[in-house]
Amino acid sequence: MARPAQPKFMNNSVFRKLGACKVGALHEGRLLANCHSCLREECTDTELSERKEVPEAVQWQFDEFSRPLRKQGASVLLKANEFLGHVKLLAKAALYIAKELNSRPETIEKNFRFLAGHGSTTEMDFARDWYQNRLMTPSPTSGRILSISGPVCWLFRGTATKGPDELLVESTVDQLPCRLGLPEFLAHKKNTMCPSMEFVGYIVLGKNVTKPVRPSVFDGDYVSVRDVWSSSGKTLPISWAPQPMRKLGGLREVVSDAPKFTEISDRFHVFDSASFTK
Amino acid sequence: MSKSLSSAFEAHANGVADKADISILDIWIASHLNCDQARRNEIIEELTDIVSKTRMRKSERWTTLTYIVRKLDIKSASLLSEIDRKLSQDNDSCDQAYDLFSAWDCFIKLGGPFLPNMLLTRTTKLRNVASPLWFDLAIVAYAADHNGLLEQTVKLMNEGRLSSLDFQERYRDVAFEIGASEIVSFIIALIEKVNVSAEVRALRKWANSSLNLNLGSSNIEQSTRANIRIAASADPVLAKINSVPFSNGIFETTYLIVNNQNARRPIAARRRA
Repeated sequence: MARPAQPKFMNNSVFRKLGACKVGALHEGRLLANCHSCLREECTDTELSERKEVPEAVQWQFDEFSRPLRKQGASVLLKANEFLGHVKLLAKAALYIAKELNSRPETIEKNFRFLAGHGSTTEMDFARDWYQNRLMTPSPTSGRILSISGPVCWLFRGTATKGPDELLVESTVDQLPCRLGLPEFLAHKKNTMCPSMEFVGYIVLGKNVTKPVRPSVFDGDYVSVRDVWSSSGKTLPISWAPQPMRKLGGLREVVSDAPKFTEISDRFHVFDSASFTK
Repeated sequence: MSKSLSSAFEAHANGVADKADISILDIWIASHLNCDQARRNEIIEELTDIVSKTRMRKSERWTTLTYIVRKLDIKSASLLSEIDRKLSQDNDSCDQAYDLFSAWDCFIKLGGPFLPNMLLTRTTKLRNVASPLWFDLAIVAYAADHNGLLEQTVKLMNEGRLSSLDFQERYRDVAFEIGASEIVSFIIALIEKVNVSAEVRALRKWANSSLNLNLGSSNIEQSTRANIRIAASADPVLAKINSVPFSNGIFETTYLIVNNQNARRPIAARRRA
């Protein structure tokens, strides 16, 4: 059967990736039908920021369509003792935890830096006590153990020679976000400057990862699929980053349910990403 | 108003972010960390405009504003005045308790004078719905009145609104505000005055293990003198109680002077990190 035609305002890259992804190919008929009546590709900044309904934009149609289809890719068998990594902006991780624990985000940020070894022995001892008392027990606000991410957790795997635990401590760790295609909002080639940002890196053991699957075209949103997602199962480094950074290549990744803080390693990594210009 | 900042502000408040939870505003902030004074003045104007035109009581607006102010370390009388005006209109009426806390936290971070009467008259709702966050504000409000802070801390703990864990988490902040020379006596007084036995036990256990004190179960002062875990010697020795990091790179360190009579006299010493 012939593939449905590409909607006028759908980007070539997205159309191609839909067809190349098994989950995408399975559902693309309905999505493409929804997009044929669209009058433009993207939502405006205002529409996005205010989360408006914009049925005339392909971007809105894609994002709405894909939301219930998260984590539908092929199952991935992980070794029980395999390490997987997850990185997050430290400030945002801290803010999420601060709201749950009724605390100041700056206190949480400091504690993570201490847990990562950036502090005196006393400070690290305080932070370890905090970690045991606060993150390994149910949150006083929601009554549940906190997770390291939202419902869909993106985890990267190691290379042939290095696990994520090694990638998070080696000298090129500042280039790791770029290898992972982060920040996604800067992945588009029109951007010219990527500032340095402070990240926290978590390590999870394979046996603690629930429902790991290969990422499908529906696990990310429209812009990330267009600019930074690859159907190869590996991340795409930011395309306009300096050559030595891109040369390091992408990393294999899976999506899964979000691991809880009780399910991750107590080895935390806090690092600044490299800044670069086009 | 700069379209980029206002739309980034709104998108961030609405949770628009990538898979690592990075929003456009996060990138914007990282790009402006080292901007010059002229640009900072423009940013202050833009933020003042955003506050005046935005329904700030909506979820995440105050928290987003505080995030920008904290990361860029903004101090501004004009923005402060706009926030004060907004808080007077919307007093205690934020949709979320955390936003209410953020609003006052922002007020303090901008350099606003935040005194006990302001705390007691304008943040009543926060005290009732998110007491640990209210305690965060109290630490600042009572910085010059240690007895007042002690009184508020005891009240919160006796009402079951502040746990030992909540206090421990804020130990560094309390020590920063009241000073290293006062912190040990503050904790001892707190243990003496709180009447919730489980919290007293937890506080004592924490003080013993984390601050190297050795507080007994009765008559704290006497027990403290008798049980300090420093070997008695002919000469006085300095026992480090704790090092408290400050954001300006200075560490404030609390010491106990202990001699062979186990006399105790806390002193403060500061050194650069």
